[in-house]
Amino acid sequence: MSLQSVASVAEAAREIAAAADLNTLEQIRLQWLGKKGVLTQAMQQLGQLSPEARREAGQLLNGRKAEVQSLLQERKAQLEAMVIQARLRREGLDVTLPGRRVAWGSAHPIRQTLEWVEHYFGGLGFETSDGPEIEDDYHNFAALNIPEDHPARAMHDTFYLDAARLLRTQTSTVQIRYLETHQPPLRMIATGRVYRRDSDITHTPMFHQVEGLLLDERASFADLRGLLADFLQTFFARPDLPVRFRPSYFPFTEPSAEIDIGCVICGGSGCRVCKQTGWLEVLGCGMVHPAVLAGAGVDGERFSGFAFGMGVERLTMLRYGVNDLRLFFENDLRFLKQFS
Amino acid sequence: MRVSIQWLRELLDTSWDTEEIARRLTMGGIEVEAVEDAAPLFHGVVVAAVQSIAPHPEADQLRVAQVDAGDGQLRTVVCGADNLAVGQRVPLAIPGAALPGERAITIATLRGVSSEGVLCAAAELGLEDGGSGLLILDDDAPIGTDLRTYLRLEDQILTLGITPNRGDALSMLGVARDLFALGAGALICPEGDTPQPVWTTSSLDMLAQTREHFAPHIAVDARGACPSYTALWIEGVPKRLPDVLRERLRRAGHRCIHPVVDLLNLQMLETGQPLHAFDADTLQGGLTVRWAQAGETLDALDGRDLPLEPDMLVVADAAGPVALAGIIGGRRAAVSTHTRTIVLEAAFFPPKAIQGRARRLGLQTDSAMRFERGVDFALAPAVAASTLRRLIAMGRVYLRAERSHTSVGVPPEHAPIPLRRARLARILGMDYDDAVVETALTRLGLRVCKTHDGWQATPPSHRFDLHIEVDLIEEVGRIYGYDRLPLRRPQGVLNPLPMPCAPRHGTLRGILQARDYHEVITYSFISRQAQATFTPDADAPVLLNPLSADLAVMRASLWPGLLQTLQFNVKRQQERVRLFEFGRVFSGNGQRLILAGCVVGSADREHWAQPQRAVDFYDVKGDVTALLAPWPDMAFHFRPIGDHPVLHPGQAAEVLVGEQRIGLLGALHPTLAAEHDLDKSPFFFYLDAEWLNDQPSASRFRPLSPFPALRRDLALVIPDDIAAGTVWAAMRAAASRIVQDITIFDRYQGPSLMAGTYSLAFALLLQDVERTLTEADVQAETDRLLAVVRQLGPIELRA
Repeated sequence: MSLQSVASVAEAAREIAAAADLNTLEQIRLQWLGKKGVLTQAMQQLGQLSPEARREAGQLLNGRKAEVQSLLQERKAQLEAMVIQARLRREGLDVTLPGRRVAWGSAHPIRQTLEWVEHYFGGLGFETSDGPEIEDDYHNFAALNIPEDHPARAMHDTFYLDAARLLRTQTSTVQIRYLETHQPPLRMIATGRVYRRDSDITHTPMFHQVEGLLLDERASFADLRGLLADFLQTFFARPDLPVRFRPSYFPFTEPSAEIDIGCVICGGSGCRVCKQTGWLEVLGCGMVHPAVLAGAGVDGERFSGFAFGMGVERLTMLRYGVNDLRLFFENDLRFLKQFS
Repeated sequence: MRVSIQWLRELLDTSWDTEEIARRLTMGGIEVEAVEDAAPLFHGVVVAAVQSIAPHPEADQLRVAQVDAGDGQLRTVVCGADNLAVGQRVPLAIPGAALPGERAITIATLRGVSSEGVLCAAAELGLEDGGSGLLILDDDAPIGTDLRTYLRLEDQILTLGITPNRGDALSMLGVARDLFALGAGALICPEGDTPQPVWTTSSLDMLAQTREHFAPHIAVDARGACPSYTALWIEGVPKRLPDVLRERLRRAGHRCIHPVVDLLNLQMLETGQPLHAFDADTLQGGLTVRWAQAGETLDALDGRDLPLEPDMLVVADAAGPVALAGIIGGRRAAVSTHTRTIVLEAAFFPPKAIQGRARRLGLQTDSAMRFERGVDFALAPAVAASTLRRLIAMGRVYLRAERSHTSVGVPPEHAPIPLRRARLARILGMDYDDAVVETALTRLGLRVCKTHDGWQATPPSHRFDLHIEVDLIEEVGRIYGYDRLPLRRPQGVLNPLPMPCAPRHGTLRGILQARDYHEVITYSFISRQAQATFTPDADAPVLLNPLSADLAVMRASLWPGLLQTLQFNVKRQQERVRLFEFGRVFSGNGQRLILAGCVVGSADREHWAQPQRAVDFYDVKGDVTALLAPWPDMAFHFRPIGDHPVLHPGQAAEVLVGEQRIGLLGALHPTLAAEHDLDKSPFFFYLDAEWLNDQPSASRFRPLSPFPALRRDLALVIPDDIAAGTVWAAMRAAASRIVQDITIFDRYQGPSLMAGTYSLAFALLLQDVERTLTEADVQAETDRLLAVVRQLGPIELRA
């Protein structure tokens, strides 16, 4: 009896080790430990033995039973781990395949520049303002100190809608509109579309400008220089970008200046873009002309300040290295997608 | 304006080299746009005399010349130019020479005749003068001289961009003056250039009394517009200008036309004083300067007959206008090859009398450009005198003093301008030594005297742009140098900026970008045809002077531009195009900011794990709905619109808030799509961004419920003529506060339903904030909602 039990436990161990899955293992468990299992039946036969033999055989059988249970559990854990491993292997993906719904929209590069500029000057306390694109002679010219017949009008080829209305040729109109509703001290930035009757490889009949205005009781030409040098060096992400101020002429500012930056294409050594000069003209500016202030009802003795304007297409072209102005308005997707 | 450095150096003694001159001019406010050599590199070209000419034995087109290049031998040269003549001096490129474009000259045999060099045309030497044939030199050009030396070709040309305020700089003299002010050196006064006029000078009033026969008459009402007028009667016409002066004109960008005209041009380029010459023999009676009469025309030198207006000043004889004063001459009295006698005009016309007229007539002349910006009042008689002297020096010319006259009225006033020391410092941002200010202004020709708080300065007669204090401040800053001014950061009170309570356009742009849309910018003007197609009722403004028919009217819709862009991209093999634009649309009296978009192609990007599906109405409706998400409390709805000029009548809806339309979306009408070569209809939408911009979007917090939520599905069978939206809206309107959400999760139409009906499945999410809902609560709510929708028509629960 006891010898048979020992031999059968060894057999159980072999069977357990050979079990390939959880079902087989369960069958083995039933075969040995189930209600009619070998060891269960052997336990039931203990009653037939003498008390002394029963104790001895009982201890022996309990030991065997615990041994088989332990083997079963161990094997079960092994098999369960194998199942998980198999599932993980089965569920493995090729993670190098592309994901779904990769959105790749974009803001227009011109818009990106406009937003950048508005954000930059917003941080310096400049309020974003806006004005109509269909303007009148007063806001586009007269209020900006450009009287009828003035030679400066030849600087702008204007689209007219009728005797009274025209398409604004510059965002400087917003200065005038802003001053109609605001009193200095003030800081204003305006962006938008402007129109000039001109179309060739470097001109489109519609383009974008940014206009800035600052008026207070102490602003000077030196402040203008500092503000715009900072702006350009930040915009082009080059703290050492050369910036120079040249005397120029705008009817609505005096003193007036044009700002050149060291050519960002060739680094100043001379190229086609800078016409071999090493400099690029990017911005016009100046101290607001007393006639403009007087027209707006601002006390020009107490308040002084400056205005500046820039062409957004040019800044954008230089920033991204775009070599053809017309690309901005063709809206070729292959172009737009480069600015996602 | 083109400035020869060589010529400039005759007026200015400076140690600055060309590069320095260019840099200083630019930094002083006269922008140098280009610096170029007066002539390209070449060598081995000498002055040669043509001794004899014989026909080429083998070629009719060619001739064989014997030329003397000054080296003691005659050379045989084959030449094809037809202006070759015996006795001429011409440029000869001798064997060994190199012409521009690396053209090497050797002894060459042309149709059997050996040619010991090449006679050159101007163009071959890079001296393009618009003429054809050989470059004919002066009769006395020294034989054998190197052409570069003879024509003084070692010179540079500056191209200057002169701003409209600086009429005084539109001359060699003016540029020299500015360089002098910038510290370049000393001005050189042309020797003897201020001769005393030998003709009569009288005031305009005296003139009216004397009424000399040939004295020009200045109409009484035109005297303000012509306060100085000199007319010289000159007999004889000189030979052509010497080569060196002809070169000078070429370098300035002028062509040689006629000896008199050429000299007048040179004088104008040097001094800034425009001059004009009439053929005296063609004039009928004396000259009068007067305002044009209505209906008069001028047979202008540009070949057009210009209609004159009463605010245009003319010079006229008895037969009518012979010139538009200060702008352009007429053909009738123009100087020509037949001219024997000229009337030379040197006048002053104030800018106000000239400005705008040329532009109105579509003219751009050197004279108008200068008078509009201001010519020195004092110049006219002096330049007339020096011009006369130069004409006489050219030979065969004399003045008829008794027929010559200067009339002078009141010169323009140049009042002293105050300049305060403190104001100068405030505007420029730094203090200056008095000496710096005084030197700058004095060198610019202003008369400066000190006052208690600064200075008082009187501008010279050549400056028309100095009137007020800040004009002087600019001059001081410019001459001192902008780059020497300090650089500071603005200081001031930072007022808080208003923050928009509506989502900004950037938010909307971000939503579309995230949904795979690309932003475009299209022109605000479109063709009339596109306008008529998309918005037949538009009253948008029309351009008076459009660039082309495609850009003729202000757009009333963004869709035409989007469609054009979409088509542009489809033609470039883009199958999936998703575009949007922010821009204004225009109407009779308005301009409104609109956000619009269009899509065509597959709903999603092609993906390996997902079947392709064409974009449909509901995709675009989803995009539009997403755009309105930033206004969670705004009750908007969609309503079919039926007929529309460009949309598919069955796939078009307006977006409404209350009864106000804030947008529109739909499929492009298939007919229109076909007209645009699109095989699939794109979908379009727009939203009134300006209206949205005014809508606040602040949300209010609602407490979260700790109690469980229940879902109840309702499948309804609905007659076809009741739209899903109607049922949905009725249900949402009637729902009590325990209904958190109602969604449509299925729509079915098919054989298992009665004909003329469809089924919608609604999911109701119910939850209370105060207690756990019971089955009875849910049943009561759904029964109530069912009763509400049944009022819309025969709607039943699906079995």
